[in-house]
Amino acid sequence: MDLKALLRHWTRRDQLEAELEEEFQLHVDLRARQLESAGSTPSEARAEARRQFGNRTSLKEESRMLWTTRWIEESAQDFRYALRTLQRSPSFTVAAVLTLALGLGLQTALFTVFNGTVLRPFAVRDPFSLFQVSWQTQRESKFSFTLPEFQSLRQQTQVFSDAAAIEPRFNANVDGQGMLGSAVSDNYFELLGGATILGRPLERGDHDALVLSHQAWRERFASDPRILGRKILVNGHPFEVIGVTTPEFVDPISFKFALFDLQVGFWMNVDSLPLIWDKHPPSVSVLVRVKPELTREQAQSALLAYAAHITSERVVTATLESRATRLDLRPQSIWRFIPLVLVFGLVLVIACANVANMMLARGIARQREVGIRISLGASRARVLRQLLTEGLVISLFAGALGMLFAEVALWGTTNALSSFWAQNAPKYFGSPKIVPFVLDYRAFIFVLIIATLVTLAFAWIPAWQSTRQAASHSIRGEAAGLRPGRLRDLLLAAQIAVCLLLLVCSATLLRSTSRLEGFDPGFNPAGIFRVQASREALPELIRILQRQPWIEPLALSARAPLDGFRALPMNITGKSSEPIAFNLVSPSYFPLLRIPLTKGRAFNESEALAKQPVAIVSESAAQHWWPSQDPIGQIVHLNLTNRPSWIAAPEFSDARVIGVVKDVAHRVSAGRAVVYFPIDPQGKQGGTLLVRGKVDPQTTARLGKQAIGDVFWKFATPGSMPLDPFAPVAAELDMQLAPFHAASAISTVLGILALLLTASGIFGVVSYIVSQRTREIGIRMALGASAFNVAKLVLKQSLKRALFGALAGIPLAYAASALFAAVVPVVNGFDPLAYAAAIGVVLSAAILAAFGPAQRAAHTRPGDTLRAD
Amino acid sequence: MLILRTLSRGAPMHGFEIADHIQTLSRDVLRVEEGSLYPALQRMLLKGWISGEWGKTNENRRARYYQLTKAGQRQLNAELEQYTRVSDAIARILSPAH
Repeated sequence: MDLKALLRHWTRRDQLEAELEEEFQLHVDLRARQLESAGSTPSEARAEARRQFGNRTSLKEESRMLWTTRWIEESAQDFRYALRTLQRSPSFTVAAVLTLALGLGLQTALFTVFNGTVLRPFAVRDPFSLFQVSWQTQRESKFSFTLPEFQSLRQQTQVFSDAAAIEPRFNANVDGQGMLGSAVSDNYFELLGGATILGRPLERGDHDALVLSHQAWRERFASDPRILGRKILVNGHPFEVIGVTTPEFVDPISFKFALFDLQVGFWMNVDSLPLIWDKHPPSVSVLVRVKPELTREQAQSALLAYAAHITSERVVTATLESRATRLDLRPQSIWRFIPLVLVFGLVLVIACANVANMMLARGIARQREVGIRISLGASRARVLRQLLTEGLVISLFAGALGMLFAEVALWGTTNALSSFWAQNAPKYFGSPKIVPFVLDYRAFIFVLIIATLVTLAFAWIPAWQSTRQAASHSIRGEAAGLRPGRLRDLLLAAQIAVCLLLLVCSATLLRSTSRLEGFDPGFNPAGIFRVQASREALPELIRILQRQPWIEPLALSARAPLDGFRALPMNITGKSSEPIAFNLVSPSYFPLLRIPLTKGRAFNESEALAKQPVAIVSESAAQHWWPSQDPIGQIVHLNLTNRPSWIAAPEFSDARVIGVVKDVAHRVSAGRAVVYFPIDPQGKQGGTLLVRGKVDPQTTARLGKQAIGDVFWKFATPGSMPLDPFAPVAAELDMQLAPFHAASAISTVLGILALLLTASGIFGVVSYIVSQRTREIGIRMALGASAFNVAKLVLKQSLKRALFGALAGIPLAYAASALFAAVVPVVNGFDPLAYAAAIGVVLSAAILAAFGPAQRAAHTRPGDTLRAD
Repeated sequence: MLILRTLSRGAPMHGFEIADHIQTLSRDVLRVEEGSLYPALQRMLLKGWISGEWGKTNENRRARYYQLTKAGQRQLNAELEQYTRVSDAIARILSPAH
């Protein structure tokens, strides 16, 4: 019997029954008439006919059983019964639903983040057939192609139905301010199915035209409705605005950070690039749409063959990287989420344990009802199913409420992310688009599945417990098997253990983060700005800046101070080679950064210009290599073989040490041994300009941007990060610390939630124990125990359980933090203060939670309790 | 099987006619509780062996008329074959020869 027929019968069952009734009636009437004509009286005939026919009700029921499976009927029954039962005990229902909703909401929120980054495709046409082309030879990985190469790829029509070229992002000077732009082939919008809300997309023949992104139109042009036709200057050249994209349109190859997209502000025709750039021919990324009848593997092998055909070198692999979602759905992207899932899942576990305890307590009260049902003939499985359905109803309600919580949590997260960007990333210009966190059908399905699983977790044990014993025991109200009390204590201990784990984690993180906050790089980065420009731009920029009166002498370095230095294998005679961090700096680098020289002297101009083989080492390096000797005059050997070509490095392999400087840290989690080499202060070797103003930082920034603005944009490098031309160096530190801040915040929230849930769990259990033992308390008081004694008794109960749970939790926390420290090296694995704090918090929570019940117990009147039975 | 055989005689019949037919033909030997016909009919309807349509009797009363389908015919043949085989086997066992 197929599902459609089943459904049809289910919906029409009333009608079907009526029809059956009609048939039965006809049959009985005809039979009666037959009997009449054979000689009986009408009433006799009718009675006989009815008798011959049989039991109509049971026949109808038999037929009805054919239309549906028993299973559906019974489930509907269970559902209705569960609703009624839950309605009768509203406080339990509300408490259970709220508790579970917290846990489910957290998981849903996390899933939605996963959804937004990995599952939900971009809003372009048929996203899963879009791929970015690249291939790898022995020598290099080719992600960019020239325009002729692109044209040739486009003609591979047996594999690709279309291909678009994208010069993905470049910094452009648009009407005086920086904006990210993209140069695309004329079929770009058609390929992606990009629509415009104003005007039209780029088409063939549009040379001096550009299309604005919705965000740029909103933020830079204040949503001017008459933007079409307006001419704006891009790097000094006028372009006409012919369209504005829809807000949902997203370029699949934009900058992506974990949770942000730095979207381009405008699109122009790639053939028009020479108008605004007079340097390199464009090198483009190629986005292709694979023909529907080919699989990705087939297309990739075709690409490999094509690549081997046109390059002279040996092609190793060809890749088509999916551009449907932000992160490809690969095992790696899922791996990244697993730790988060586990941690958030712990809160859910606590919530489940809570509800399980609540259900256990309730189960004892309903023992009688269950016993009666069993003795009336219900099978154990049936009763079990009904109890589980009750749990499922709670879970479903909790799931719905949880989605609401998730929505709120996500809204809060989005706001936090926006303010985080505004605060901590001033060196990037342009506001990012935060990954849209949308509760769509996937989240809905997720909630359903997880609610079902959760039901099994918390409802199974109490249900099993209830249906275990013989009917006779149940009616009498006894319990058998594992005493519910023991089970309850176990659950509570588990809760406390997990709570301790979370608290230890958050305490450890908080302490690590605060220690990192106090990270002292060894110099004061405040007031120092960096100008990162292409090599062609440097000489002119240096010339301009040197003329400014409000500037201290400029410095140049290959790597900006907090950006992290590269490392090269180095050694001194007699010792083995090891990778040591290094930087190339101009003579005024150390004074600008206020790094004192402790021995010897700094570089001078002639050494820098002539590329002399000299070096300055940091104190740690000096200590490491020459612990008891004078470092001045010693020789350091560099191993320059196998050096990747893009790393700026000295060209000599032996350097003489001429000075020692104080240690500075170049990155939050790096060592302090550094070797410095000279760099050409005129900029011919490239590098980053470092500027410190004689005035306050805000004025410096303003004056700096004014001074270099035009020159900077004229020489903007393609494909570079969208950095502010005059970016504060201190911002780098904030960016590096940001993940720790985020992790601390999240784990603190989780810890607090876990604590609240556990406290409520303790409260529930202790209240229950007290209510069970009122008689005993009454007796004690009658025998002379004071209120204080009774209260102490209750508190001791709570404390005992809390201690047990905490003891169980400590090894758990230890294992977890060892794992944690292995992954994140900065976090201290075993932080005794964190443990002590966490244990203290848990125990105090246990006492506080038991306060209410203890008070209630202390106020019992012995007379009442002894009389009640 | 008996219901299917009855219906295989061609004309569509309603429930009472089927029951009457079986009763008459079997010379009153087979008398089942008449109502149990209907669940059996429902079962066969669901399995697609017969089809049912509402029509009018001679006295203009509404009745559901059942007809054998092709699948039903196939099922009938299969069941008849089975029955024949079994009864032959039983006959062989019971026969005085051997």
